[in-house]
Amino acid sequence: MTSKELFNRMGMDIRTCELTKQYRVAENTYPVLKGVSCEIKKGEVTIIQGPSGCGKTTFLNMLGGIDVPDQGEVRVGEFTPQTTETDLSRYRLYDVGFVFQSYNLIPGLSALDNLQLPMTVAGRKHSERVERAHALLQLVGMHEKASKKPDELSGGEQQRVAVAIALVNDPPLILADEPTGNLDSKNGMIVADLLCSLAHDYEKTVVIATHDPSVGSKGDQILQMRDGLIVADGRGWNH
Amino acid sequence: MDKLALYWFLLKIFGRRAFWGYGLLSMLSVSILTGLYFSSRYGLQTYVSDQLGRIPWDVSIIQRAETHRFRELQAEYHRFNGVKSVASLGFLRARNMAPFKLEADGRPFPIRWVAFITTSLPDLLPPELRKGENAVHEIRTSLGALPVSGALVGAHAHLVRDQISRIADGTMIRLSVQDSSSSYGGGHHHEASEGPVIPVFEGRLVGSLAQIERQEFNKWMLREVGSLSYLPEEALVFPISPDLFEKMATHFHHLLLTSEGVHGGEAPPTYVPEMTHLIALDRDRLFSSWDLEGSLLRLKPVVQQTYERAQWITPFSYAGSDLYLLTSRMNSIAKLVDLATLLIAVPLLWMGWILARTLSRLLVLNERRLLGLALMRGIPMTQIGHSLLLALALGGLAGGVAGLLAGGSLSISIYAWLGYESPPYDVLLSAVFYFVLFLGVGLMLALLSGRSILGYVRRLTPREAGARSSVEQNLVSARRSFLYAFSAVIGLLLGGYKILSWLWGYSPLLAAVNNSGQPRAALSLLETVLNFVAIPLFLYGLAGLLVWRAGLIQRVLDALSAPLVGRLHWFVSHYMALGRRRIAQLLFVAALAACLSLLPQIAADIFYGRVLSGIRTSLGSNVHLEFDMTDLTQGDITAEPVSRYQERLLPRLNAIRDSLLEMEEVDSVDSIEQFYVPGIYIPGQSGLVLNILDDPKQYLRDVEYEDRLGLTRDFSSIIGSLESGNIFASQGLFRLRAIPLGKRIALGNDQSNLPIVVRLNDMTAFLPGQPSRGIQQREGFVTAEIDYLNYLLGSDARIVTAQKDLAAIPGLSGLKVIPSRTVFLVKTGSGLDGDDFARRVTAMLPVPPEEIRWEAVERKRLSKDMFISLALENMKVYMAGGFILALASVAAIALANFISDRRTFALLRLRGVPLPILLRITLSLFLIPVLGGVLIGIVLGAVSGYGVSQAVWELPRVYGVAGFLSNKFIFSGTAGAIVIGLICVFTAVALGFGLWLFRRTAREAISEA
Repeated sequence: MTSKELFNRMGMDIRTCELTKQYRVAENTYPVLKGVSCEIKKGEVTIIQGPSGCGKTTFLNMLGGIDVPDQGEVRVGEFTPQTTETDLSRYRLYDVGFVFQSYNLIPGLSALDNLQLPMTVAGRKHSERVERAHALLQLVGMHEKASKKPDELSGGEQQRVAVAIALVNDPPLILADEPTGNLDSKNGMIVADLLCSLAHDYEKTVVIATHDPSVGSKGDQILQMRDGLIVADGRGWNH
Repeated sequence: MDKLALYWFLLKIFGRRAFWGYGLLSMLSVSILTGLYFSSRYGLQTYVSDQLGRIPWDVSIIQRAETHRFRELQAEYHRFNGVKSVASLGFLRARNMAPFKLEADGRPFPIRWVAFITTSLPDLLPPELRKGENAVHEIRTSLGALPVSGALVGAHAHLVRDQISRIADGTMIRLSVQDSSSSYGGGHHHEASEGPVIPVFEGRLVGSLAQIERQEFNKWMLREVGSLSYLPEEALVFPISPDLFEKMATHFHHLLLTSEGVHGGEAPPTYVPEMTHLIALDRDRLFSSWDLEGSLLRLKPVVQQTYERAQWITPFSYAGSDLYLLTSRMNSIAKLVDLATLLIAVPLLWMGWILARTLSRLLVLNERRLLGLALMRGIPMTQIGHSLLLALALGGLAGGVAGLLAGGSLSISIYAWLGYESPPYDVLLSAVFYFVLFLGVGLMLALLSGRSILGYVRRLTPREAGARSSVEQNLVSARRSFLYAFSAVIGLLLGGYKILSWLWGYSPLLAAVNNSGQPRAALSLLETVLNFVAIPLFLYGLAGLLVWRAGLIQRVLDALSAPLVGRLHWFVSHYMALGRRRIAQLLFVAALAACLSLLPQIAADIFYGRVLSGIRTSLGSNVHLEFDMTDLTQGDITAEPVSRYQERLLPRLNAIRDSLLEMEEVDSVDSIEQFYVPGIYIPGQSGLVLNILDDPKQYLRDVEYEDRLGLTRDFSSIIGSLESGNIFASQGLFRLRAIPLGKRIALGNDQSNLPIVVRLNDMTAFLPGQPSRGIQQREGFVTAEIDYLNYLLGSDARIVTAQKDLAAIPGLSGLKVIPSRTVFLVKTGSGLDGDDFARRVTAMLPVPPEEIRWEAVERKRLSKDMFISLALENMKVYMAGGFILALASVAAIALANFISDRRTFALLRLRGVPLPILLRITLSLFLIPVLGGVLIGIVLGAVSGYGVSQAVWELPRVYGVAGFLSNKFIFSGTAGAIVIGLICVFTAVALGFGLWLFRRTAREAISEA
């Protein structure tokens, strides 16, 4: 399967308006996002940078429909994902490809099966699932380890499988939280290039939270976050 | 940090969940046990109190002679230890023949008996004998024409009917005795001789004669006084004052007239005095319905002393204590009930153990990472293990105490709210042993389960603890040991053997040993022990089998889940394969839950079904009518040839039969006549019972019976052989007299004084429809109510023959017998209204039956049978406890599995799997195995319930004849409702877990996991 056959769906513009989120731990509440407003364009790579605990992951979670804001709004194209759980599930299944910092592979399932699972839920036929899965694993350089289970893979290998899983239903929006954190420079570059090509070549909306400067330098838009707010919104070198 | 501080620190970190988890488990188990204990005690106490309320007097002392000393004796009895009050009821009975003469207005009056009754308490007399201002209390100093009230017994007797109009208001009644110079020593009646006629009673009747039915009088006496007194079948009865009674008794005593019993003699007695002293003991001090054992210990010396002192005061007295008899019998039955309910309690305790083990697994899963982190930081595993064990022990102990308090106080509060009396403190104190036992059970469960945690924890490596993969393999690896496999096989074999022998109704092991003649005590003990532990053993073996064949089970469940999950079937299948042992365990626990929820209900239903079979066997047919033969023969109770009685009886019997057959709802009528053969001594009976069936073939067609009632061959074959001159006997006869089967025995002599010899070739357990045993002794009455089924199916000594045999067997027609009863077994259509039928029959028949019985009435009486009512009640209570434990167990293991799986489910949700699909996945992973388990559990529960019911009937001294009846499998609506209830709850649990995942956001779900 070629890349063109793998990726058909174009991205969507994202707009956030005064996103606010706080977490309650025991009797204490911790504000994490304090009114984040921004615009993210399709066909671009948006990099989110900031120190640990500034709210990058939480912001990605809001965009990805994994969490809902206390206040504010996220609009993805014409769609506001935080309506019902059914909408959110559908959004996460079809419209978002999330690369998690902690991989989140399903234990006990092989890499191939981890890829097949979202496609099964999405209703793809078996032959198509297998073909797509193999193609995506090939793309991230994990084709030979398709039958391995997560506890048989290293951290970097799990990371690459996680990238493949994120792309499995050809989502218009790709969110990646430290996608190259556990990878060596060569594989990190492969993944970074892949993510960028998805934006530049296939018009997807790609948002990456990263500390890696080599990835950050590829961004079209750079959002600096600090203490739950976007403190700088600039254009990247690639722009 | 010193050692104690370290342990305390580790306890706070690692022991909190263990403490609370096992605390709750222990609390649940102990509170259920305590609740069950109190329920059974309340049930017993209520039953005992109710029975006690039916005993008006605690001790009876009956004088048969020297009745004129009754006042002196009464005063003496008042002084006995423990006596609260004394009342007396006296009878003077004289036969209206020489030397006695009864006159009405100066002319002889031909009634058979005259009787005088007196009492210290007017309420002791039946209402018919309590009239006006009560002539009983009138005190006169001389014998004069006293105004008396009177009553007539035996109004239907034709002789009486013709003459009774002579006795009316104002009639002078006179009883005189012809004095004789002869001595009456030895108690034999003498011919009338010349001598002065001495008037002993003169009274003028006030008002008209009341009419008393002998049967009603007997019932009154049993109810109010606690014992029967001989009331002649035809008599005039006059209540008199105690003073007059004393004078008359003294007079008779001085005339040296002695009484004579009915045993052994041919001539009836002429003078039968009797004084019954009724003693009420201080029940508040001596008896507690909460503590039968203690009550017996307190009562025994008091009752014993009363007997001895009464005997010392006058040797002509006979003492008996209804209270002591009843308490003794109830105490025995209570122990049997405890034994029977233990059959159900043991499997429930096993369930508690499974629950504890499941909880331990839950604990391990939750603490795994924490333990791993501790190990990585260098904290010694021994100390962690000890702190865990301490937490378990403290939790078990604290939970146990809390359970005792909760279970006890809740039970007492609920019962108090329902209006029941609360147990006194000393009873609670005496139950401390049980409470300590329950506490020990709770603690033991915690510690035994804790061993598996400690074993696991000791083997744990930091890497394993930190891994996010399932730790199932580590947990079960120990169980693959040879010891576990071997013990599981043994459990399966032993448990399976016992269950099969229950179903079969036959123990091959005992039978094999019997045939070889080897000592069987040890094997009998093994068989008895197996009765209690068969189900837990079998379930233990089943658990091992399921683990061993987990792969096969997973494949079967996998196939069953395909329709539910659709295109995600490959994922569910793969996931089941990963956790096949957990799935097998879930299936097993569900099977156990269903089995133990159903077992008490099915056991109770089958048990009661057999009880009903007993009732139907006792009744013989739809309606059972009993007639007193003396009412039918209208003659004296004398020993005459059976053929002579038959001649007199046949027209009356045919008239009754024809009347019954004319009734619309009656399909057929059979009869059984009963006589006593007085020449043969049978302890506890008036002689050997002789039953005559009118038509054996029709009897077999109409009567409810089982072939197992025939002990030498099928019952139907035995009855069928009556036509060819066979006589058979009951097992009661062979037990009481060492009569060899098939040998010739002499029943008595015929009129030519030739021996009547018969051969008893067959033996039966019971004759369906046989006349009920007369309650002649006080013991019989006292125990009949509380031991009703045994009373109904009692096997006394009897022989059975057919009408045709009387001619066929030489001399049999000349056998001298005393008439007893005749039974008509009436077969009707379904839907009979027994009350209405009884009313119409009584009105229609020429002679009213003494007793009419049908199933509805017997069921009501049976509800008072102590063993049946308490055993059934306890079974139901245990069913409730079992149901709670079952739900808790399944919920616990479902929770354990859910915690193992929740990360996967959270990941699925993260990947966009919607709620409906996720619910189908959780249902297939949880509900399919559970439903599979429920199906197995239904079969197991049915088999176990059947078996437990069988085991209850095998308990020693339960029911002799009912033991011969077969167990019939019953799956009642209630059992069905239990199954449906379980399925609904399990489905709700499965859905609940699925929905639980969606209660928060996807991020929170994955963070939680």
